[in-house]
Amino acid sequence: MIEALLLDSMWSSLRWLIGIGMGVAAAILLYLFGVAMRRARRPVSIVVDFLRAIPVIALVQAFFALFGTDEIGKFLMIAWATAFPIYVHLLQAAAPTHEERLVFAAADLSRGETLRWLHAPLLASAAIGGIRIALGIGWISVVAAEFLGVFDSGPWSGGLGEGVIRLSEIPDYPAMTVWLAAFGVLGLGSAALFDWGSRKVARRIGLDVR
Amino acid sequence: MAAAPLIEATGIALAFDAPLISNVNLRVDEAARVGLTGRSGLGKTQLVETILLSAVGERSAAYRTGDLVVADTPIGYGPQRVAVPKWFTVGSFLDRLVRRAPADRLEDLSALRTRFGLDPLSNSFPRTLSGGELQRVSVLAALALAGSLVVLDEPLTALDLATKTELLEATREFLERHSVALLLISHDLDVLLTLAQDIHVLGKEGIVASVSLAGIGRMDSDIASPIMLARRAQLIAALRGEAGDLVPGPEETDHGV
Repeated sequence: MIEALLLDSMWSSLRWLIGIGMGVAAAILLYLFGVAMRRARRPVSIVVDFLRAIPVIALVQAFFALFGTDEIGKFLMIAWATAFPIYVHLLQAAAPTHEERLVFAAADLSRGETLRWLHAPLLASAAIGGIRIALGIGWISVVAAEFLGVFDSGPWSGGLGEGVIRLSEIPDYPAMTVWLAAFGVLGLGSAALFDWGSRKVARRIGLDVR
Repeated sequence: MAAAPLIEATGIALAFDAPLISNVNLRVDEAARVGLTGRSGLGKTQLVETILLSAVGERSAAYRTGDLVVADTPIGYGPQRVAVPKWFTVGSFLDRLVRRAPADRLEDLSALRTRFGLDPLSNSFPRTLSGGELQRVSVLAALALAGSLVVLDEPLTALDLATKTELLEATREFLERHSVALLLISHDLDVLLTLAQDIHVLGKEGIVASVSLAGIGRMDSDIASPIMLARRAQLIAALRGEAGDLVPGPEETDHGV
């Protein structure tokens, strides 16, 4: 049982990390697109607000129809769930204050200097804050993503979410409770670990996590 | 032919939901040091931001009417709400800015950094600094970034009188030596009298009084000299006249004006 639990934990963690990585990348790209194309920012925000209002659990069937039980579908579900909250966080936290912007603009700094000295550090600070948010949301979405692979027996099958469903169908409720507790422990532990690590790094390089 | 002014504002009116100020005429020539004071909430900072936004080709939301011409020069801006990036140490931030300054200013900027007491703070991040220390970094950053013009909004107000006076005098010497013009906003008469040559009192309908310190010799430039006390009295009278029924502040009663 312990071996199965560890294997399921490993698969879930792996999906979670890959999905969050894709979500963070998508959010940053979306944000940079909005920065580069100022006129596009408003329409992009409207589309994002619409898409993020669709709960990830409601998309299980859509992703199943599109990707079957392929892992890519699970990664994309986690990325979907995490990208939008990170994007919204970046919009709020990565924007320089009015005074910061004016100080740099009035001094006629080059685009490169403004990017390196103002936008990049702000984006890095905000991204750390965004990832912190994404960790929690991503972990929740792992369960939904793993609904896709419940009846799959391929090499990537497994995961805590799948385990919970399988155990509930046996039914083996004590084991299912252990699997659920593993979700909690891993979620809490990883968030605490990231928090500790990111604060340490941020302090070292002077970033103010927003 | 006289050089074009760095800032020339004619008939400026600012407003948000309600009108702020109108009919503001202001000129800042090369190497001039112009101070602005007036009631809180009047729109002085808005005026400065309107000028700065105009310099970078943008339009302030408060800008209603009037003509505004700002010369094409890098402007060092020290805002009221200090905007020192939090991700650099003080040392690395100032090093980056100083590297951009003209070569003939490097030595003086380095000396100013020492006089401002910022050398021991080189390895500190802004979040560990006091309000006064942040203001010092902000003013020095503005001086380093300035081309022909620096704009300071309530600089160094969080410092004690002795330190403030010393640093303001150091700032004035730097501005004089390098012919950098100054537009200064402050409620602090000590700051205005130490840094500016021409001080304007702003009212809702534009500039209501002006006090010039031009021609005052170095011996009389101390803020406690009789000439400077007389100028201070002029400013207080103008501010009191503009303030209407406002209660005189302790600063006024301290000097028995």
